[in-house]
Amino acid sequence: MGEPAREPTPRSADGKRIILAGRTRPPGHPGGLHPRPYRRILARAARALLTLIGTLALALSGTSATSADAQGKAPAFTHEEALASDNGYTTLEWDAERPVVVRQASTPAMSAARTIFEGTGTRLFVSGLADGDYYFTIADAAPGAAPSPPLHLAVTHQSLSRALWLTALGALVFAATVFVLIRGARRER
Amino acid sequence: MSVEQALLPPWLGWTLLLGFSVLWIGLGVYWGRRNKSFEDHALAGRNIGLALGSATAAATWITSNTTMLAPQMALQLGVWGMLAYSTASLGLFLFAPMAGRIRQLMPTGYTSGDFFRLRYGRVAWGIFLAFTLFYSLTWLVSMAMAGGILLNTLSGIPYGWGMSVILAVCVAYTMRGGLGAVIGTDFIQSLIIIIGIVVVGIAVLAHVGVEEIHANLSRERPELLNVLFPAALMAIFNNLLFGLGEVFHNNVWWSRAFAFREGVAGKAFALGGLIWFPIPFAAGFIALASGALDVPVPSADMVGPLVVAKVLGLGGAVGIFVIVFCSLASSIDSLLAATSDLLTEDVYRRLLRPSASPETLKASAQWITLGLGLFTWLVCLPRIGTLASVLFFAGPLVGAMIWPIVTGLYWRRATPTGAVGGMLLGAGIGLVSYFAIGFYVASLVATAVSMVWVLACALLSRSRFDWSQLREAS
Amino acid sequence: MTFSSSFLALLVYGSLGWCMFTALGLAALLIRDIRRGEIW
Repeated sequence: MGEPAREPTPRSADGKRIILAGRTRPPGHPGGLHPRPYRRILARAARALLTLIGTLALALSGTSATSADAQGKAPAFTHEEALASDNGYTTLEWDAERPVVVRQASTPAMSAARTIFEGTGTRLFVSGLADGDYYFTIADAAPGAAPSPPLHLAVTHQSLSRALWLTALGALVFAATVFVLIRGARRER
Repeated sequence: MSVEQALLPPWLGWTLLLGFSVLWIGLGVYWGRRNKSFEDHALAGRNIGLALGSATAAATWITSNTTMLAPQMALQLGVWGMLAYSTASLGLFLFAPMAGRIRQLMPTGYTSGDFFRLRYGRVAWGIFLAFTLFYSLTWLVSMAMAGGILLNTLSGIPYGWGMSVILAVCVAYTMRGGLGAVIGTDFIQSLIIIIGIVVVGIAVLAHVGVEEIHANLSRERPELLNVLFPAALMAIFNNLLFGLGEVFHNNVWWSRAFAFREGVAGKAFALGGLIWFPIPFAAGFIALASGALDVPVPSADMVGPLVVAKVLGLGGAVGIFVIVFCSLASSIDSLLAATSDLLTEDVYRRLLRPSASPETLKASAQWITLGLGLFTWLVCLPRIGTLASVLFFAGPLVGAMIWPIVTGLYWRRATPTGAVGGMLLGAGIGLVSYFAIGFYVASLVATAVSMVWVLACALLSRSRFDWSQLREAS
Repeated sequence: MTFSSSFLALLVYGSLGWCMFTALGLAALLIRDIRRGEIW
């Protein structure tokens, strides 16, 4: 039943990096149980197309996609620009061949950062963030690996006063419905 | 923890899938032998008792959305998210008095379409049919798709196969057994779901206490505990009205009101609401435990299965598979049955073949069920995710039908102009607000606009409806 | 203003207890209906 909650639409999909790495999302990745917004479908189609073109181009030029530099590439977020959220949740996505460490802090200098993900994967859903600025870095899990430049997420929740007005309107409509129903049911007897 | 492989080995997934398929189809065939006419098939002889009635009200309302989306909403919108979800039980509570009234006003009625046609005339009936078919078909498609995707994620069964099997099984037992089989299997499914959720909940609590969950949330996801979380506040009444609109208009619920024995309907819906009410909390809170349990969540909709697999291992994965399969089946079968009855009664019998015999009607209801299943299968096969998201548009459509239905059942002065205008204006302005403001206001705006229009028309109206017009000779 | 830990505990334990109770209640109701021959 009910209004299915929506996932945030990804802000961007980096096709170029995909071509270099010569791969798409790993098979069997839990892609989700609920409908993707059409922008994500388009982004996926675009990725698949770019991968195909990239593979063809590499095959024609006689080089291999799994070259040493692709293997050694540092993990990086696929978001091209800073993220914004008006409900305190978002999905971080990245490209990585090996286990990674994702850290979160509230300053770009990453002071007092804490680890929010460690292991293999390419996505992480974060939620429940209060108003404010958040910064994320990603690094290879190997000791001594240098982290990526911080990714900025700005959380500005929707207007509380508007939310309260809408809640009041909802309560009014609901109360009126209940009133009509109960009065009707009473008169019936 | 790696999340990139399925939680269950495919052979186990297939074994579970086939075992349950044989069970449901067997029960459908067994129960179907009682049905002689369309009335037996569509309304189970109008004699369902309290136990089966309460269970079917709850089970139909427990969809894959409840068991999967409740955790997702808890993770996105926190404590209010669970509460917003559980308000959907109010749809069942408030339908309880209506069900008694419906049974009394229309002792020989078959569908919610009958009500619109007899109460408001053909124009309102046409709009109702368009709205309800849009809603029912998108719900059916999204459920079958979710079934294929879930079975694939949980056990690695390919999407096309999982979707086809679950749809075929539901079509087979609904065709053979009619509403009786749907309601009988609903009883078993609701017990499995409730017990499964309790076992899972206790297992999670054995690993991590509520104190710990709360401490982890205040540290890492503080907004989920915020009483003044704007997005979550807006979700409460929007969700509530969406749920009210869904229950009040859809033939899934009306056919049950007609099928329950005299005096049972009101109690059964109220009990169904009571059974359903705690489920979003029981199924949802496990998502809040994900942080304290150190389960990374790649996407919000996977949080439930991931947490369960973490705390219960293989046994938990089997449990989740069974819960999901039962909640999918209990909703798909009901939708198939109710929508095929609506098409049989409102389109085939009323528009095409008014003189059809009860046997012909029963046979055509069965063929229509098969046709609906095939249609759904064809639409689901290419796995176009955007199709299922069309269900979001149904919010304003169903919200706009609340007031025409409620006043139509209780007020003699409610008019066709009020109903037609309320549905069109409410749905139209609701859809505009969906795009202009956001999905979280669409149902609310639609209901409010339709309410104002219906009230204004009723106040100005001089006509007084004669209730006996609803007692149509069948 | 935040939801307290005890409120969360009330929701969690309350809902689980409620579910257990309704499952037992449903089973009891079915047995009653079968005994009276009123199942359907």
